[in-house]
Amino acid sequence: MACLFPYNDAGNSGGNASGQVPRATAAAVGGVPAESTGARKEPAAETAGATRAQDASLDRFVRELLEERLRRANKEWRRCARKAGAEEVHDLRVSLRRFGENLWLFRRMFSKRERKQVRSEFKAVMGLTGAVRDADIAIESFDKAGIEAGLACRIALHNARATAEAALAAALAVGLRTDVAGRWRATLRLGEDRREERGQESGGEAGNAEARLSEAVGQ
Amino acid sequence: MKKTAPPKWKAEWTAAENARGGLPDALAHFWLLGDKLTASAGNPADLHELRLATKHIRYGLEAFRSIYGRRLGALLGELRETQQKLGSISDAMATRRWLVREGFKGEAGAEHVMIYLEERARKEAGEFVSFWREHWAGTELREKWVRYLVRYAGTGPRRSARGVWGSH
Repeated sequence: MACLFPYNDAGNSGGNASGQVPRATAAAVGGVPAESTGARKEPAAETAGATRAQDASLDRFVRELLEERLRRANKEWRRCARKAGAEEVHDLRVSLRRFGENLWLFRRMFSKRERKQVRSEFKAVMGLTGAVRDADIAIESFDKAGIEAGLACRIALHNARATAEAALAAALAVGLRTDVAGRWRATLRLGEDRREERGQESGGEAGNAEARLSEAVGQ
Repeated sequence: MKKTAPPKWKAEWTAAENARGGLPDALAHFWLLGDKLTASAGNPADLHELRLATKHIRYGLEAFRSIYGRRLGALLGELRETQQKLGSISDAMATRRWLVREGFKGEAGAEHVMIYLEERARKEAGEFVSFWREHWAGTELREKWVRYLVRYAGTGPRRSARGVWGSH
């Protein structure tokens, strides 16, 4: 089977499944001989019979990983929508970042259109949480420095935090109302095995746009 | 600043085979970048790039946690510590910029905080360079983790009743 989502990016040259240490790796560790690594060869089990994560196809592995990350982010989203305290905002940021990082890591497994839809909304929410976080860290910095802010400064910090929180709260409410996790799940089609379809597309970006739209809206 | 491309995953390989093929090289690139950025005395602005790279490699390895045994947690812990140190430097720099941008420059208390943040960033950047050289620069440590990532891909625990990711 041909590689279904080939990379064109420069930079990381990747490795191989035979356990050989790639050249960059060897350089960074001071020249580890490839034959000394002694990799264990795993059987390429098919998903139907797989009982362990390592035996799963990459497609299934990634879908389950992102599903778990999304589930966690959704939980933090709900928690933060109830109360956007410093801890809640931080936890939401961490859970969203994990999801975003993993989506980026396996981005070639999704079409550009699917990724862009999720990424744009994701980036907007991250920006809003970031604004709250910036204000929280600024407030915390006064404590850490042991400096008491003057009245004007305290008011300005409070205003910055309050307005950032209000903007975030509005975005979180929209997410809850429109089932953001469900929409992202549908957009990325995490519940489906798409290997065959990708094989037919031969690594192309576009699929059947009409069919995807129908799926996304639950028809 | 461009993100380093992720490994070239192969759809026809299992998750374990992909981990074995891609992660050692990704970790090696992270170390090489760290060596390069800590070669000088430790400029807080330069270390920002390393903070992002640390975040990427940490979350990347974490994605494959179920593929490996418990020992991967030790590597993730070390990366977390590295990320936290870099995060503190970055927070200080970013907060200083934020205070300027929000118009706090000239406020007596805020000016003191900005000086404090600048000094903290510089001090912690210097400490970080020493940390990197003492902690990550050792060939033996690097060899150990590269061997681990190659050899132990596919030795993770069996799936729990909640699914592949249920135990994490």
